[in-house]
Amino acid sequence: MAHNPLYWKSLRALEDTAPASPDVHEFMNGVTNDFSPTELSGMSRKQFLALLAASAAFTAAGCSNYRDKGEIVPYTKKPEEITPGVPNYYASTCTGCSQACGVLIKTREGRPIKIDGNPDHPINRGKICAKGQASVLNLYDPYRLRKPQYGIASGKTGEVSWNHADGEIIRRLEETVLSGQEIAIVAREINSPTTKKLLEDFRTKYPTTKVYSYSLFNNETRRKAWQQCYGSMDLPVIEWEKAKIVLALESDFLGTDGMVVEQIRKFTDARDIMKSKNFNRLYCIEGSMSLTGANADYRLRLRPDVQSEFVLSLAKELGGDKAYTSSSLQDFALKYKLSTEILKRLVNDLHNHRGEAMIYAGNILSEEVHCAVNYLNELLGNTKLYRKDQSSVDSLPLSSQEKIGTLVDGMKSGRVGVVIHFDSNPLYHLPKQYGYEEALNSVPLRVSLLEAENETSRLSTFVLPIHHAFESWGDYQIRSGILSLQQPVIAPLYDTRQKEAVLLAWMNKEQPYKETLYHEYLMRRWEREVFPKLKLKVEFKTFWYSSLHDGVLEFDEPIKSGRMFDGSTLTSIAHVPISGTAIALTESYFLGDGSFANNGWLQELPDPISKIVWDNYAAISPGTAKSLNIENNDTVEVTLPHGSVTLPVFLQPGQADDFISVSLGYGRTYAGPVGSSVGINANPLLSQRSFGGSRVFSGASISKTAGTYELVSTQEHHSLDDEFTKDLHLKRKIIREGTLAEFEKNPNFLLKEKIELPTITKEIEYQGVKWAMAIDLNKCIGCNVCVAGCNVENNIPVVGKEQTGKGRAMHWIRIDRYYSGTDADPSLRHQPMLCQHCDNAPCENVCPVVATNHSPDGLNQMIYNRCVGTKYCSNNCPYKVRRFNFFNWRNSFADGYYEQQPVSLMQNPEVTVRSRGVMEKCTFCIQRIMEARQHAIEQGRELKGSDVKTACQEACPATAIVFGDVNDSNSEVSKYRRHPLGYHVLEETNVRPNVTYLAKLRNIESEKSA
Amino acid sequence: MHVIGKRVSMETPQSNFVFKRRSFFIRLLGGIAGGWMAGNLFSGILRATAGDKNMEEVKVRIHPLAVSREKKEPKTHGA
Repeated sequence: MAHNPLYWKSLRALEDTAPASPDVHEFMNGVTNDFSPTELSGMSRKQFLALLAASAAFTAAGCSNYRDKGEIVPYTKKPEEITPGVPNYYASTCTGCSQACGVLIKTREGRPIKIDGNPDHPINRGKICAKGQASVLNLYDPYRLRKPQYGIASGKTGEVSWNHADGEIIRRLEETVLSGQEIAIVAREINSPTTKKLLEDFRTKYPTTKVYSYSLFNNETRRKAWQQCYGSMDLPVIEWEKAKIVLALESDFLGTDGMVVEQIRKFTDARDIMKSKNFNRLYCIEGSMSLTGANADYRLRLRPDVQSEFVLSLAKELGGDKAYTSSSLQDFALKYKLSTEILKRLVNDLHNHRGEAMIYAGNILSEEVHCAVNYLNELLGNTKLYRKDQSSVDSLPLSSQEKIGTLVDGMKSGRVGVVIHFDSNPLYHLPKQYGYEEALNSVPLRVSLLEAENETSRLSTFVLPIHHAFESWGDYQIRSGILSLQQPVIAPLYDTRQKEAVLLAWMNKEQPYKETLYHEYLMRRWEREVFPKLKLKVEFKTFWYSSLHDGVLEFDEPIKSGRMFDGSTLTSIAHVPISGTAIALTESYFLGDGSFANNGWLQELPDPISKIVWDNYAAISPGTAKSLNIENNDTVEVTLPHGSVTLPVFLQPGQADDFISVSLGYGRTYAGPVGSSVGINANPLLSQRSFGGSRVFSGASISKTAGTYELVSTQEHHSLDDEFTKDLHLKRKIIREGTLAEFEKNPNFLLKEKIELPTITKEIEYQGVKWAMAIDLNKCIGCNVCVAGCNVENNIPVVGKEQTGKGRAMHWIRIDRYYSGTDADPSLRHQPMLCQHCDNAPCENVCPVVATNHSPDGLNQMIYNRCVGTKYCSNNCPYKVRRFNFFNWRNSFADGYYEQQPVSLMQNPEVTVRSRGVMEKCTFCIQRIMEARQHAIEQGRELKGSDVKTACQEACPATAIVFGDVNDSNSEVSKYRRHPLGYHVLEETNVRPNVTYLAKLRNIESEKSA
Repeated sequence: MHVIGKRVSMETPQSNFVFKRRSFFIRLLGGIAGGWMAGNLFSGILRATAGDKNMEEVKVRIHPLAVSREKKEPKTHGA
């Protein structure tokens, strides 16, 4: 029998400390008081009926407006591409962050409704992150600007016409050039070669122009270190799938660092039990508990400001030049209380896998650490894992901290006459030390080109609305030999313009603006610069339309060869003495740099580790909290020499002592009705030095402040935690795991726990297809992308922080996170939990109106208009995966924000939008099953299990989810079901679930799991 | 004398029926007219306030220059 450790979901479960959020349950006494009918409405039943009758007559009469012909049905002139009810797909590029993933956008009757990865894209191969999944909401965000406006600096208010704004701005640009003043374009990271060329052309037209680009989260320290060590800024592409040993140093390469989607795929490819038993082994040494640390086989906690000392000690142990450090690894381990046993194993593994290991440092670490890591990889011959044919490419280098400083000084001194914010928000992103706000007020003309108002635009002269990415043209290159194309999938919804086209219009005042301005410019560059290099035997137009069809172009592009390591860089590495508490400013998993703050779906996705929603916080170790007499939800003031911030506290198991980590991207003041004032803006803790440098600081002080701040964590929601069932997850083995060694020794070690269940009734035989799912816990990293994909596909509403706190989040999948071990050094595992579509579904038996019942193909289905909301089904569900609409969430959340136009255009027309009083749950994407069935009928063949991919399956970057026909013994899902590691959760209850989990194996030496 | 299907005099039962039918039609017309006016007024109010609540209609048009594809379709490799 597999070792069954004590699992706990929170510190409260482990020891009797204060809960992270109040002990609530969606059905508990008191919690539903606000749902009392008398409080909801003071109207009597008779009054209601009377009003209903009157309003029926009234509406019947009011519906007689013959003048409103509408534009949707019927099509008197049907567009060629549109067949009602049939989706169209467009290949494009996601611009949610700087990774520029290829996407395939699904549209229905012209409306983009779903985004997935472009399977033809060589980097992300059909997968995208949660931000990309949810970005469709940004297109329909009612907060988007619809028309050009005067900003506060103009002294006027209200709308302005594009013509007037263009005329005024061109006049001022010409005057500025004549006066010799600078025109500053402030942009975020630019990865588009055509945009780069456009900016050069703009500089030619207006010679005093200077372009500044920045990124709150960047890999500048890694790039500078690479430049020092190898004399090039082009970073290598790592073959993660070939690495047998991975050592992550404060690097969340499965969460936020680098090309995450690609890294997840490649990392989990080497942990696929269906392909091989040769798993890679992941060591993680970090201060914050990250998603990467949660998936590590061995994890050590270490405050990040001593990572350079650690790397040099490790280099010494591995036979590196002894001059770099005097400290041995043994001394280091003793000094920082690290397990010498694990470190010894790490050293052995790195020794034994020379050329097959990868040491990877996090983007927040200093240049010195990256130099030392480059040295270590050289020393061990791990550079074999760098691809010889590809490297990263940057279209426009980020501006240095000094260059940004010069800009701000120029603005203050009057040297800068015009500032153009090119879809950027420097007032929020730049460290306060720069004094950008004060400087901006000294600039005569400030123009903001942006989708929705932000902190910077409120101080502008003109606020000009730009297209969303789905309305824009573009090209992007982040890697040699790969160009991604972006095309509009919908005509502009409002009176907006593409930001590049705005600059083009300002470059030629004689030519009136037209919508195709940038499209023509882009095509022209491709015709002159890209097409000739390829030497194709087709017309350019054919090539262009083919490239748009594919969304990506691959071509041969040589990279600089012969990387020679320059060891002299290491002599400059000095030990920085540590003091006080260390702080790391990290990237939040779902909000990016704050640009997604107004996206309710992303705000409501639980943090993969803490499970906190709608907030950021200071993550502190339970040990440090105890020494400071701090508890969950207390507030502390964190002070650094350059700034201080007051933050709520969350006690994070596995966090290094004397160390705080805080996510940036929160605390926006002008983000929109959803995102404003959510969380705390921790940007004041950024210093000028940290901009483009390390985001780890030593010497912070923490002091407890008066008051508390309630954080909402979903970690204990839907738990079976009453007296009767509180230790169910322990007794019932909801999580099953073992070690790889144990599995190799006896692959059937889990089968001993298999329970044969007798039945006294005749088994129902399912003819044809019977749907089932399998989830490989070895590959699932708990990233929540499946949840985001499900939200978009199934029109899942946003409920807000308060209602989430009551356990009413509506997600159809929840990612359960279980700890084991001690609170100082816990081990983590994730388990996606969704409706199990049980053959003997207990929810079906108790529904008094047969609203939930079983389909002939094995689905546990809901009939929404039959449901009367008794909630019996939810009470009787052992998995707690049913969600009740306590309110009409679209109306009740944020004063009906998501009922405003044009949000309804985003809804998937194949999925019913549920209203108040209705129970809902995962449907196994029945709309996709029906679509596949329709295609099979059209083609005159039987429906196959492989015809259908559920939204979560399609979204999962780790390909951990498999779906198909369990009646087909050759199907993939049947193979998973028969696998010796396959098990069903709570199978002893005889509900016969149809979701199979593959038990998690850890690649550790011991035969017992942690 | 009663003649079926033909109005003969005010004293016949049919005359009462006709009176009731006329009254019904007048009321029906009045109801429809009233409802029509109320409905127009109502929708007018809605449209007038829609601007303040971002409820104005948004027109959806497909982009004429975009190139659509099937979900799974062979890559053209630019040719």
